[in-house]
Amino acid sequence: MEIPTFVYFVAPIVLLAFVAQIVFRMRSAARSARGMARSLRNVVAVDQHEPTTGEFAAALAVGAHMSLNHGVSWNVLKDDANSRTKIYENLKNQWGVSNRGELRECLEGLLDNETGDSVADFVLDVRVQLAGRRRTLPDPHAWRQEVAAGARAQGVPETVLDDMTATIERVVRYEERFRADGLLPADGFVKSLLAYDWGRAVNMARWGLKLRLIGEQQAREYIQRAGKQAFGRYTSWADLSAGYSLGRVLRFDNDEFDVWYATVLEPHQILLTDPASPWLTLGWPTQR
Amino acid sequence: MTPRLAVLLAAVALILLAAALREGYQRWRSRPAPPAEIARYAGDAPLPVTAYTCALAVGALSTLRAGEVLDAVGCRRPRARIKRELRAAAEPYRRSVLGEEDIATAVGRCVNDLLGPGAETVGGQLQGIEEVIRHRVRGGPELWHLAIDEWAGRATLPEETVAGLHDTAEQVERAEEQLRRTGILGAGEVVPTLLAYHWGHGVHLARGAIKAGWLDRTRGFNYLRRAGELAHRRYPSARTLLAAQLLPAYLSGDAEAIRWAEVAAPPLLTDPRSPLVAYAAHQVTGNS
Repeated sequence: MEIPTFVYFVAPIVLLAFVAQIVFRMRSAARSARGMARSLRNVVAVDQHEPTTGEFAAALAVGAHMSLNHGVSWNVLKDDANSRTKIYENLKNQWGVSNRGELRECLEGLLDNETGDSVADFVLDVRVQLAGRRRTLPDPHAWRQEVAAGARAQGVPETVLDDMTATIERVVRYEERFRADGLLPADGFVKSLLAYDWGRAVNMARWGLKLRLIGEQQAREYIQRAGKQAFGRYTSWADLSAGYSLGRVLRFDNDEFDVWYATVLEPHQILLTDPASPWLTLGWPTQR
Repeated sequence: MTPRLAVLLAAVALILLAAALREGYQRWRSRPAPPAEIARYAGDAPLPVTAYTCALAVGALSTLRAGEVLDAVGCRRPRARIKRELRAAAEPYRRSVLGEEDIATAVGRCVNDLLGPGAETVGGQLQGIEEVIRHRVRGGPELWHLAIDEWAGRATLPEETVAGLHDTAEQVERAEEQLRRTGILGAGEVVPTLLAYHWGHGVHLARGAIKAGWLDRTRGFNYLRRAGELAHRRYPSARTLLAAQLLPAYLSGDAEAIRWAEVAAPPLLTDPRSPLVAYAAHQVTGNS
């Protein structure tokens, strides 16, 4: 009884492919372990070889929430905590980004003046205008009425108006909780969710650079744009953080105040207390 | 062919056959069960009005379809069957940015989507129909088409879209007429909103999730009470509550679903044990 000749060729190739797959996975896991360890320890990571002051560092700090959650040093241009494989899979599965064109489109979408949630944008804008006229935070009833009047005047569908009313209820509930947990001051309110997009844009540029989908200069430009827009729209790091947090929980938390809520509350508290945090070491840049 | 090669091929064939058999068995197990036509009740006495009666009425149709008892919050079907149903419903919620969610979290999100903060918004393919129905509520049945034209003018909708809206309104009128002939809708009654379509599914899933231990009991009961309160506010009668859940099938011309509805639904409005009969009594006493 003889073993067929082809087995002598195929078996080593299969074995080699199997071993190579294990090696690549272990390599990727080892590279991501640093990020996982940092995110579990919940400390602000800083790369000592990169600048921690200056205009560009301040722009990088706009993405600090996400850097902390991913265990990335807040002041690096290129992600230093996650493997290329992990980033590639994340971008492909969660963002639908796998090439230069898609990345550029995604970054431009994040850096414009609209979030993906047009309903939330509308209701928050109405409240900002109302608060400006009244010089005080409007009560939810007045806010609802103003939204309904504005939306109906524009011919907004009744079903979308329902979404707006539901969004107002959600924002009110989250802001109450934010105030109780110190995410907002007692008389504070969130003016815009754009911080969520701009914070993500900083990290998206990082990932793009790591995957070589954009060059270093392009990454810098995108990050600077995110910083410039954030510093023009918000008034402090805490204000930016509240905008980022509300954007994230409205999108994912589903009013559970559980795991997703913790992913914004903990970074907020750490970034405003950890001595290594750029939000403490860098002053809020005034609009240049 | 050498005997060794024959054994090798036979082993491979056996493995493939076993895999095919396993796949076939799994598909057979997860196939949707045919909808039950006879309602099951836990007791023989008429259902008293409690804090959960309205919720049971909301979920009655989904519960009947699944072969569960209609007159008790606690489910009586085997846990394995309930879990299979919950797993299928929560499948779209299993993956998130945080990775693979455990089944209890996914089920919680699914129920929350149906009965949580977005409960008063209609999503998906029903949104267009709901929009048209909402203009009937706004203008009254006689001025329905005028109300559509008025809104279309404000929203500057193109002519073809407006024609499509009138067409949908006529389809809804025809479907409601069919529901009146079946004895589900009363004379002069119309469907005020399709929201119950989502709530019915949500109540049924929430009951199952409580039984399976995949939803915190307090949270689950809160969902049920909320569903009951919402229904009490939006649906003036048990007939409109039932019709709202059947209207989408009538509109899509789903012959099998219509046949099932004509056989299974009318007894729910007359059987004294049915929560819909208790709901009707509750609406009369509650509104008087």
